[in-house]
Amino acid sequence: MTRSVWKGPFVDGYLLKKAEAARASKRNEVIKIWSRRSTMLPQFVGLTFGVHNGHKFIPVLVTEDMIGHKFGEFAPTRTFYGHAADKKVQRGE
Amino acid sequence: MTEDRVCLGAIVGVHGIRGEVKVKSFSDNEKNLTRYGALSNERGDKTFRLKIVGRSKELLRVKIEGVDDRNTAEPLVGTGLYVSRDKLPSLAEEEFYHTDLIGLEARDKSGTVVGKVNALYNFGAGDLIEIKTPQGALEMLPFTKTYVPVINIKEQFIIVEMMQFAADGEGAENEG
Repeated sequence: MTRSVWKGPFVDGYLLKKAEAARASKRNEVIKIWSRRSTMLPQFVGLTFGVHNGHKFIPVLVTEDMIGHKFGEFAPTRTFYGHAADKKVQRGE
Repeated sequence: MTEDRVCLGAIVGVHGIRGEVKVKSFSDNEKNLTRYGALSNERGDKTFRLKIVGRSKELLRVKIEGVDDRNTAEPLVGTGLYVSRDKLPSLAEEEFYHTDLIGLEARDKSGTVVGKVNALYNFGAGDLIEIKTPQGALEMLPFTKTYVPVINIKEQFIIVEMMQFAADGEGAENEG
């Protein structure tokens, strides 16, 4: 069942303050967060969060496509050891 | 990986009595198993020409040239399927194979060794590179020019900028 629209998205209050402070500082710092349950808001776009997965911080750069998703979705708590095979990666800007 | 060869999959079972085998593909696109021509076993002394004939749940059903009955197929169970690294297609600029990056030495800007590349992941928020430090800790970095400015595959090293965390204010570990 989906969350009622009138409630608005859930975000832990301290997270907004941290995001504001990071944006104001204009430094390319990663914001450590433990709040996996918080929803990504438009004001988080462009910021990098270190989302705790239980034992370390997974870097999550928030993009427009991710608005409305929860932080925890991008920081899995279980490790999957796959094979490299012919998999590729693209280095971003 | 065995030297300059890449493991694309493994034979994990047999199917029926006509020598078909079940193969688990490790590739991003499982059809790549037949894309690079003949594959070989780990030691490189046997080659296999594969033809995908169907699926069996998450596995591929494959016919191997010269394997026509179940008795010939059964000893192959457990065999890894390797291809030479040279047979993989060349990549666009800023694209890298996982196999080329894993194991490279990670250095900081001053040249100090900070670890080795352990793995690469993508959890939906862009590619990440995992560095294993000499102490055994695993650190993840976004795979971007900011955090990985230099990649030198010839000399087997990358230069990384470790993540700088903003000072912890309120809220750390106090929710929930």
